[in-house]
Amino acid sequence: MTDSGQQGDDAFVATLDAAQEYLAAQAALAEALRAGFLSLAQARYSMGADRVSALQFPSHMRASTRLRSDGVELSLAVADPAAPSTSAQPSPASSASGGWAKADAEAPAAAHSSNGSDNRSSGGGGGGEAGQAAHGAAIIPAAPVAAQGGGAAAAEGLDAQLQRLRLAAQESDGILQSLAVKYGCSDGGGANAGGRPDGSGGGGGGGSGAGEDDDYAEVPAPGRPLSWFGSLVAPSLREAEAQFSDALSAAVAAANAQRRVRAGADGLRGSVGGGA
Amino acid sequence: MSFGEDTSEMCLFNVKDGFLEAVVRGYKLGLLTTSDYNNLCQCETLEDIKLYLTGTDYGPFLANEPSPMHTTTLVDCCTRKLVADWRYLRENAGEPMGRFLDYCTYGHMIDNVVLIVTGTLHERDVQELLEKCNPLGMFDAIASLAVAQNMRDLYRLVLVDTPLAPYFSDNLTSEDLDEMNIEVMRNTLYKAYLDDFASFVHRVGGTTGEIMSELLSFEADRRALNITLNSIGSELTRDDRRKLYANFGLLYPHGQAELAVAEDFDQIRSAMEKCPPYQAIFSRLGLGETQMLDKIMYEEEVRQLVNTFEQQFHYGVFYAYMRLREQEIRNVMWIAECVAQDQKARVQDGIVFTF
Repeated sequence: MTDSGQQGDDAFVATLDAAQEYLAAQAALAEALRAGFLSLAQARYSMGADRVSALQFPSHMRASTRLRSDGVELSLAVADPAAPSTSAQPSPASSASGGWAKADAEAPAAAHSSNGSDNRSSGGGGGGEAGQAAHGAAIIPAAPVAAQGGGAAAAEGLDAQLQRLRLAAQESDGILQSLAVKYGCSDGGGANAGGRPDGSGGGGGGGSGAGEDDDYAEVPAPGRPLSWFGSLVAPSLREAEAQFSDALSAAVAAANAQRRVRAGADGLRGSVGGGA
Repeated sequence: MSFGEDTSEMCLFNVKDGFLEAVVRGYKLGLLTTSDYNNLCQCETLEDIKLYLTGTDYGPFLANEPSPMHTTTLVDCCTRKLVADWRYLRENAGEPMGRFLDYCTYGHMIDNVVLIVTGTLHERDVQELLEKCNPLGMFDAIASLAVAQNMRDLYRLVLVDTPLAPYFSDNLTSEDLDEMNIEVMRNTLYKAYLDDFASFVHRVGGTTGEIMSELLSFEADRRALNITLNSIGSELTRDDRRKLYANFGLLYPHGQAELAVAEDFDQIRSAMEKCPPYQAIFSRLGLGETQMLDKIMYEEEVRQLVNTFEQQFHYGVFYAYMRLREQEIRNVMWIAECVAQDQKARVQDGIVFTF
């Protein structure tokens, strides 16, 4: 077999592996969401419907986890509890470094699944009222919060960046731009429309105010969303938090796998077209 | 109680309070039965649940609700039924029944205070918060809670003229109202409320005192258990945890001392099982099964509440009716959540049958 044929076979196998990873990540995501919504319902049952509802959400929410791209793969950046925060609660996944730290998005852990969770892999139905509201809260983009001592300038910088990202998303169907607009975050490369990120974040490692974090450098780190519902919450609510965190990791893993599938498919299409 | 006291209670109770006792026993007959819950569990959508509940006592409150239905809408409509019943009872109550019925609502008042303060901390609109407050716990100056910056202001500006005033201790602090302090305030107020309620029913005496003492003891123990469970892994210290337990109950004082130092569920279980009534309850739990604990405690509470209706000429039936309705609303909410999330296999995990 020729080298090019061997390479084509390897690429085909890699694409199939990526497709399998994608399906597994999708299944893990569905399972984590299903378990999370049920745990949320259990928390409402235990603590009371008035204590676990959309009424506990703050009027201005800041993302505790952001999506970061190093040009090859997506990863999660979690706020560091050591940074100044309006709440003393620690974030679910944090590192010792300051600023935003990369979280492991490649292996959605199943350790937090509830003991009695349903193991069916079918996609869950629509969540309950509080569940849908909580899930929506998990993906609400970070509002441009006034920074300490420089609120107007920071807010204007964020607004301008969001506007640039929206324009870039309209001009390109890239997943990075779409995600950046939706979650109100930098796409990793400033405002380059359709361009590759310049990697100023340094390989996705923990950065403290460097590169794309400059606009968020003076914004207080967000507190833990669990504290919205009080300091003494039911264990089922803590489980729901962990399960939704797993779901977030699974979503990023699915996105990465999907990117590899597309890249592999494009490569195979190109090699077949070139061969013909 | 002596024979004379029994006789006088039987002879004189109906003079002022017999009508309302009959009314509340009529309300009790409208509670959902096991067959109702079985039918609700067969529903495929929230619309089906609404259609079935329209044929129950909740009918007038659900019939005009527009589609699509949501879980919170069902809960709100069912709560309106309880509020309407309670208001009728309160408006027709003499004394001391009126004061007893007020005592039953002070817990909701505490929840409303915490809701307003927490919502203000999160910069929510006060009007929106007021609309979501429990109607049973409303008082005149509740909207003024939003201006308080610390607990001293909270007491001085608003709560000094409410029934909750006696529950604030003398050592009010000027600490800011953050999540932990609000939680401590909630549980401290509730502890003082339970202690006060227990003293009141003891002063009322008779069958009311006997029955309500048992119910309130169970409530105090259940709260101690929940506080302990929920504080595991939180910033609450052991000493602060101990201060939130009520000063009565089957667990007072030795069981509470063990709960205060418990660090995991097994230690909690060990502390609870030293009390014989709770040993039977915890024996139904498997190792590390915290999820079923709520349901088992609710089942025990419902058993005690249903038993109060076996005796006559006491105020405990009113308290029992309120708690049974609240449990019924919890059941309906759980069924609705399971139906909405396509988790009907788990629906039996949360239903506590009354009859």
